[in-house]
Amino acid sequence: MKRKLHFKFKNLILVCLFLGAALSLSAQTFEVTGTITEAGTGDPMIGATVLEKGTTNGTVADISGNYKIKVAKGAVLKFSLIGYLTKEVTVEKAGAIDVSMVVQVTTLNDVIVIGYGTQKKTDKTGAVSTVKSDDLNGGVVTNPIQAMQGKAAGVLISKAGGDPSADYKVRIRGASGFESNTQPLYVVDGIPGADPNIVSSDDIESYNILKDAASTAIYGSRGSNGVIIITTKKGKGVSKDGSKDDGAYSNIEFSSQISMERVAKKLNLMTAAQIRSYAEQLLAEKRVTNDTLTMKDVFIDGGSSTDWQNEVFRTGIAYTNSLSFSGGNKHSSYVAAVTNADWQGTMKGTGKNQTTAHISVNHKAINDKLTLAANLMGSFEKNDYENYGGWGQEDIIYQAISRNPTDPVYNPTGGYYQSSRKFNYENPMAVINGITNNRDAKKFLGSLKGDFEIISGLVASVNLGYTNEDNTFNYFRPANLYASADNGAGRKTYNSYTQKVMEITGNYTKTISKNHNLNALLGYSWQESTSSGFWAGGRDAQSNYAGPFNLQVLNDMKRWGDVGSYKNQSTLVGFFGRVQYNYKSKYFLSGSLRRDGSSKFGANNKWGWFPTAAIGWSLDQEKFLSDTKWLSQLKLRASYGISGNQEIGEYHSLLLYQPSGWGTNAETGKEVITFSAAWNANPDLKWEQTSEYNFGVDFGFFNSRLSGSLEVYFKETNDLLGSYQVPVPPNLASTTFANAGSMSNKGIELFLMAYPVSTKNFTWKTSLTASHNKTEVLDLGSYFNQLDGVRKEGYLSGPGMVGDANYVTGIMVGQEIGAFYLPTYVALQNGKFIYESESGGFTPDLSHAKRSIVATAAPKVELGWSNTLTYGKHLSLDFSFRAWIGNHVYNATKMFFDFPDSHLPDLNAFPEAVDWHNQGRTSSAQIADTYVENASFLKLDYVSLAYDFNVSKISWLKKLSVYVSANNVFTITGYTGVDPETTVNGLSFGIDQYNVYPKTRAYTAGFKVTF
Amino acid sequence: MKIKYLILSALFISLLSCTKLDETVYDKIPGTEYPETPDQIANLSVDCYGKLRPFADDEGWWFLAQEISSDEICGPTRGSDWDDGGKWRNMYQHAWTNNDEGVNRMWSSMWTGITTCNQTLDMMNQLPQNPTLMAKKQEVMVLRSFYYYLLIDNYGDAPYLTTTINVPEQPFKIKRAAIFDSIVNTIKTAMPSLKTGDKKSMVTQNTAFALLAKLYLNAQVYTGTAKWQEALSYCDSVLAGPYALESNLLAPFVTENQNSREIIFSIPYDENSFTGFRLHMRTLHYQMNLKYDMTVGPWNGFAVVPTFFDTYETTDLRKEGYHIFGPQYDKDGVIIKDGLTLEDLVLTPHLPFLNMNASNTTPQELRCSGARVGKYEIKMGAMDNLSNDLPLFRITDFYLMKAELLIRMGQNGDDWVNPIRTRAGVSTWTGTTLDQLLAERGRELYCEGHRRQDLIRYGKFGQSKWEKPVDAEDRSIFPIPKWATDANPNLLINL
Repeated sequence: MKRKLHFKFKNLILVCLFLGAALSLSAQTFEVTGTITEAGTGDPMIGATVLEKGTTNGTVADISGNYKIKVAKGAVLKFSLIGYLTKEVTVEKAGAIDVSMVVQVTTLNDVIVIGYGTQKKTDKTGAVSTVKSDDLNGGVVTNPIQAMQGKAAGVLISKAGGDPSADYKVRIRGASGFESNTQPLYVVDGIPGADPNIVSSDDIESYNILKDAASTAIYGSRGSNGVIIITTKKGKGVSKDGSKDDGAYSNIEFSSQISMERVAKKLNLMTAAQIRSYAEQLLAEKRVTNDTLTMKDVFIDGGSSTDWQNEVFRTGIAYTNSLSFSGGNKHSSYVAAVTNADWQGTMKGTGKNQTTAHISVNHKAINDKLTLAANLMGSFEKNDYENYGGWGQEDIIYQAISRNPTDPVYNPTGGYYQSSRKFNYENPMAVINGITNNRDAKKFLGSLKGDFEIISGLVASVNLGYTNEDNTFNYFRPANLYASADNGAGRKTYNSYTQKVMEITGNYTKTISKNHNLNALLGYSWQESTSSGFWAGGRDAQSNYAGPFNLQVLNDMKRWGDVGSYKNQSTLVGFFGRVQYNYKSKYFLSGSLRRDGSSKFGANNKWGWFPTAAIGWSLDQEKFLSDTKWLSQLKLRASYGISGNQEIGEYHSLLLYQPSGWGTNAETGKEVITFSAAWNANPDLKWEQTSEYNFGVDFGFFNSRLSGSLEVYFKETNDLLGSYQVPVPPNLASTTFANAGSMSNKGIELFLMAYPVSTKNFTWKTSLTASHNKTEVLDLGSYFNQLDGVRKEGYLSGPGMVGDANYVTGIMVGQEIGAFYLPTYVALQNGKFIYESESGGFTPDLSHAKRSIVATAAPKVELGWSNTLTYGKHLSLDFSFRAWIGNHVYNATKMFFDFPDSHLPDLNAFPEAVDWHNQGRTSSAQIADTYVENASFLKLDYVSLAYDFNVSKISWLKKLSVYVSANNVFTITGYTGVDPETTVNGLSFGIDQYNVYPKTRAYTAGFKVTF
Repeated sequence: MKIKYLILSALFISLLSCTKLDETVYDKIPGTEYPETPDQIANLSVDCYGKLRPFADDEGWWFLAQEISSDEICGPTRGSDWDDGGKWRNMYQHAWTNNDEGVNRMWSSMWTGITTCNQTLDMMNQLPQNPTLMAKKQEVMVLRSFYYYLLIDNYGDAPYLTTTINVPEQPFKIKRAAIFDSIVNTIKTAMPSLKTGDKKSMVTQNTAFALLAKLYLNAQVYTGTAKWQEALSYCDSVLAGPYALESNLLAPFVTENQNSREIIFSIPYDENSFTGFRLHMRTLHYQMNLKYDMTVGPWNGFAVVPTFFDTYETTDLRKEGYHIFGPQYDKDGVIIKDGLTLEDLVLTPHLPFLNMNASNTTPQELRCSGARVGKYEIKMGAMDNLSNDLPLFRITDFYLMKAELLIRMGQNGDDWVNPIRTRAGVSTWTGTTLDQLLAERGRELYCEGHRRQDLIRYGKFGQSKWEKPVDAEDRSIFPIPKWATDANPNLLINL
């Protein structure tokens, strides 16, 4: 049958050619020749089609871009190639017609990845952002999520400070909850729930971010927080020059880079000289009443001048090397890649080393009806840690900034200088060099996928996935590092997390009578997650040498909690279906429904429904707009959906008893283990649900030289999952997990992409993302019982700070999450702050001070601006800016270091402390609205200059490029602390309390070569 | 083609079976399975006693509140250390609010004890009943009465609950006197079922006698009606028990004091398995770990109130026995140097101020003033928790209670005071007065958690003392914490 058709078709072409030749004889015919090149680069456009308009007369450009065709006078030649704008030229005379073709900027034929499928970009009805590998930030990138910071509107990626081992937090459209995890669901090569850190950003082809509920609800289970679909690079059955190639090809790519990282900003603390002069001042003041006093009654000088920040921080070196092999033919393709990267932290004693490896194989069989794909990914990560979050003996930042600058690092006789200026006063260098604190993590992802085309248009798929992460934490503190009850301590913790996924889908695509395009999906998903682990630890280390590796040197391992283990498991089952329909790619309609069941919920509420509906209208396809040349796309979209969140941990609906401690049976005198209820049973525990409306416009002007989209959304999250303290009695345990409260998010997102300049030698591609989100608490829930209506979060604890009034964040109905709720500072009176009081006057008592919402921690507007400038064939410049507007930080570091009493002259403080002393301040750290600072910033995130060598003459070399780049080139901000950027996550954030690892400025040089 | 459909339908059917969502519990015991063994049943009451563990330190605050609010010890502020938002000064100066740490934690630790007893009783009621179990239930009820005794002693009116099943979510308070009656009746009813003999960390008949004696001794405070005669008769029951004075007055406080014949009922602390007694960490100077060969540096806090220190006569064995002052030497006899001033460490017994800072004191005074609490032996090589048991009821208390009751009933109490004075190396008294007796109770029962209750019974709690003026209002009960009244506004209603 097929053969016959082929034969017929061939005949037809012959007939046509004959007819064409016959016609051409009757008219005047020319031979037209020429070269087709790419605008900007001048590269030959191999394989470009040249067609005489309205005929079948045509040819294809050869390897040098040359073509030759015979046409009649007045004929119109149409030059086309996928990915380029089609060009038409009318033939007036014989001779050469050279054509340069412009890249079709917004490739309307682009395909986006959606849940369980792909879609033409022009067909989308939901809010989906796509970030491609070309657009990512490079340089020092410790995490694949970092690479897309600022690239997608409505996706707030944040991390305070520059710790290479700390994760970025992602907040899509203000996703927030009371207790549930609100990080998005990651889908890596079709495996939901995978860890994105398993992939090197070099291996990523694209990120597709599903933002509205109508798009995410197909992953009903964890859709509420958005879904990020990561697709890794695949081998292609396509050769270097872009043409289809039946023969085999292969690529070998090697790249290498080295970076230097420096601390971008330090705190301005007092110097040794300033401390000494303060001590002199203090002595003079005291001698007024007692002239027998001498310096030693006031201050004990350590005799040195040390900048402790310089001691604990350093210039870090980072390098990345990666090697990949890829290749394939018509039926098969493969990629094998390995990347090793090492980041030496700018805080001494910290660092991260990661090796990621990736093998993927694709094969087509049975007349291309069967596609098999296998994927193996592995990541091997080592982290070195130092503590820096709190104010304990091992907290490096606190010890460094509070340490007296007259104290030397070392004793003159050798060894670290130690002094007992106050409780828990430790030499941070001794701590850094003494303590072992590291992690070894191994991650693995394996998947196997088979697609089979049963009948034309109907594809059945089975996807099996297995992910596993094993990690080991090691901690050891040698005996006598500092005075402690335990005389050295060690602990080893092993965690294992495994997830098994099986998904079966059927997908049917059909076009009925040319105009009705239909796609239907039916699927089933099963997912089981298991976490388990154990730990052992103890005290009284008898060997500092073997201690980090051998727990047997710990003499004391007899306390409660020294040894333990755990295991938890949960299951998620889903059935889902989706129908997408469009008429002539003009009117779009789609709907989906998912029925999800989670083992985590109560017996009465395990299952939930997650429906969606969406419509779209492409106005540009309408007749009344078809003549509007400057308009290349205009599409209106609307969607509604309900998605869910179940991220609260296992077993919270059940009553469970757990070992709670040792006790002596008073009667027998035997030591026994006692059990207590872990939490109260709640058989009604159910899904947290988010319903969302999304309205969008996609537009393109001037052949899509300017294009973009605008989204507006309204979403409401109800039945927020939370853990609540409940009175005992009547309850059995003091914790109940329950659904209570609701909040809303409203926002607007803009994405613009443009080619302002596109000439033969120079192109400029620029894109802008802008987003605004407003979170509002609608209801704090039935378990909330504070009479003042304020859910207090962000409690500060630090030296001299005790009591229940020391919170800075207040969550209340009608307000944003992360709002600073603070008393108003009025003046200093009797050495203490006085505030406006609740009753109308003034008060020194914080618990009676009137509070109000001062500012919010989350940015009002987030902006990202990325640019690529290409000059000639070889030189390109990338730079991206990022800005947050309207975010605020509570500068608790300043609050804890700006007062004199108890800091000066014994410890260190900000120079403001001396001013406070002169004003007579005697109080220690006090909460006040004056510590809130506007932390809006504009940052040049990334600049890169790359040069591509011309290697066309070297047969064995396909590509060679070198580049230099810089990260965090500058930050413009009014914020006085270390970093204006905040990790936006949870209920309370934006509090800088000597817990911010310095942000770094990095300079990188590297090269990439392809054989 | 047909086979394909067959496979597909088979697959689909197999999917429908994959919808099981029951949670398999691994590392905890499901409520339906607990208690699973006879041992677990036998040990059900252990946790009820375990809830006494937080009482000695700042996790539960009972001991700290009794001592610091009295005239015995204080937590002076020493520059940047021991300010802690003023919580130590507030407790000493009776300036607490309904949101102070001590007020909050003491309430919650007492209720945790009461509720654990009730939960245990509820669980025991669901098990097959037998005489052993029924006796155990009575024991738990008396232990719960002990928690209620501490609760009404500190907070006055409170809810009274005896089960956790079907109780109101927001219970109302009842009068202190009503709770007094209920717990007295509970103890009397339980008396025949209780074990006899000397078990120092278990509720026995002797514990119950001691508890009733204490309740009746303070009945006037709790109910408005004195019950001196009843108190006296239960004191006699205790004194008839297997207890006697040790010849060495420090013997009841040594590290291994669990068999001291003075102790009736105690919290059996252990440095490893039952931790929470850290008085030495709070009181010793930073460098005094060298004296006791400790690896941990203590916190340089608590010190005796100077005026209280002065109530001990020079010859009183308890002056040196219960306190640490003067030059301090390390374990090899070498004088210890202060870690900052590098001067010899000499603890001067008198604190200059409650709130010391760089402006009003020298570094030497700030760090080294105040005699420290030395009543409980600090063993060589001590860790951050002591193994000494904390006596809740001790026999000399009942000697002095008997003397007080006799005097209050118009009789002579000398015979019960003098054995204690003689042992302490001070002169005997004739015609002992109530004021003398209160002072002697202070010196003898120093740092055993009795002083606040004693001062209240004598009406002296609100008087002025060193660094504290007279109370402007009655501070003899603590307010119910704000967090509790927020959660249950019924606690604010006076029925």
